Amino acid sequence: MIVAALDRVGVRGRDRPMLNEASLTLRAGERVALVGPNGAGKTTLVRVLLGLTSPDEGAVQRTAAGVGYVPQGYAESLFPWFSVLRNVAMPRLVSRRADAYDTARALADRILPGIDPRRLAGRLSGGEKQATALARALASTGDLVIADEPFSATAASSRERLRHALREELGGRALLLVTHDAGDVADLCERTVRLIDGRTVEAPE
Amino acid sequence: MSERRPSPPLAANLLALAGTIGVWWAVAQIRVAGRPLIATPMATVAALSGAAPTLGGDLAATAARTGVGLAAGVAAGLVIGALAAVVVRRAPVIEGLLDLARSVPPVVILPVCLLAFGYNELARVATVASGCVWTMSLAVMTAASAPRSARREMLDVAGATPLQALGWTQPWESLGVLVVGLRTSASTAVVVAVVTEIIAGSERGLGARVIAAQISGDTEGLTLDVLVAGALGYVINLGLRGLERRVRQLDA
Repeated sequence: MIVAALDRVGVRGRDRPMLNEASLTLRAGERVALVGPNGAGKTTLVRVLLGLTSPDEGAVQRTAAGVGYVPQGYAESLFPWFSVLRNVAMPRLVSRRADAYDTARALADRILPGIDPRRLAGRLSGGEKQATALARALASTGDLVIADEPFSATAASSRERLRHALREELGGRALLLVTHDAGDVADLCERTVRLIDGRTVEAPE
Repeated sequence: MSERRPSPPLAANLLALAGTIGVWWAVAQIRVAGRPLIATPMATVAALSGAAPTLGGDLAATAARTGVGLAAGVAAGLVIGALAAVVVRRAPVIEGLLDLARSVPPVVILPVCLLAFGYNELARVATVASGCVWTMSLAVMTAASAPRSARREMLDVAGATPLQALGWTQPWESLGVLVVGLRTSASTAVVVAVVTEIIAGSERGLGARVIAAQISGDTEGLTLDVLVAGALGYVINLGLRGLERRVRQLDA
């Protein structure tokens, strides 16, 4: 079953195309790495997939609502005036799930050890904010998690623990992981798609 | 998150205070047309003991006018700003008109209020409120027209309804701009309240004391009243600045 797909999608930028006939298919439970140099269009592709940017060309097949998402600007995506727990529970609170806080508490215990879940999210350090954004994405109710460089602010000592948490908590959901780190790809993904100048190229197995 | 500046040593603060009192004393030695420009620090302190029985009541009267006028102006500003934010998308001229209204000096509204309400308390409070309403309206409009935040995008991705998204973000994201609007409005309210008391023949209030002291040539009383009016504005500003700092820390 396909959870999300792009078919020859184009997004025009001011002076050059951001995406140029980019295609990508994500099937249920599949774990895909999206790699490429800076400025290749990785974040634009993610935003098109999420419906946050409209493509100028091509077709987008989106999954139902409830996608888990760790944006590159993770700090600005948190709600600093709410507790860590409420931030993690957000995806389930908006879909009115009775288990919102229980799930959030369990995720916080595993992914955010040492962080008081009652603390305001605005008071966290950069690495703690990124881990909170990851926990929130994993609390989502949909069948797809998209993580845009989810370990970029994480200390090397915590990286392995967060990778492990992502692997374990993902369950049967599909994953699209944007990364520059070969270790992330090797640890978490079974397929790699390379993006070069806005074009997708399937990397050899 | 904003970092606190380290507190300067006590000696530096005492030195600055002594210097300020010295400058005040020096200025008090200046004579204009044979009269001192302001009273000396010692004479002002001495005037405080004589004025104490009535000063508290007058300070309370001005503070009450400021508070009620500010509250009314802010409430009206929130409503007008919210309505204008909806309308301005269809008629951008509204924003220019609100800016024009804000540029009208609030004190010139006093005659209009006197005509409308007569020589009474309502006219004075309405004048104070008119000084706050447009600043607050524009603050609300600024908050409402802020660009879509990354948080709104997160809520969309999570499948939140527009109403849910509004509740999770708008009141909190608007808080900083609204507190700045409130602080500006409060500063205006103090000025307008005192000036209104001066020019509208009020029986009580710091403005009434100022004009009475000027007419009777009571330099000591005048200096004291001016300082108390300044202190009232300072205390209000200090409180709201603390609130603003807390809000900004929250939105780090």
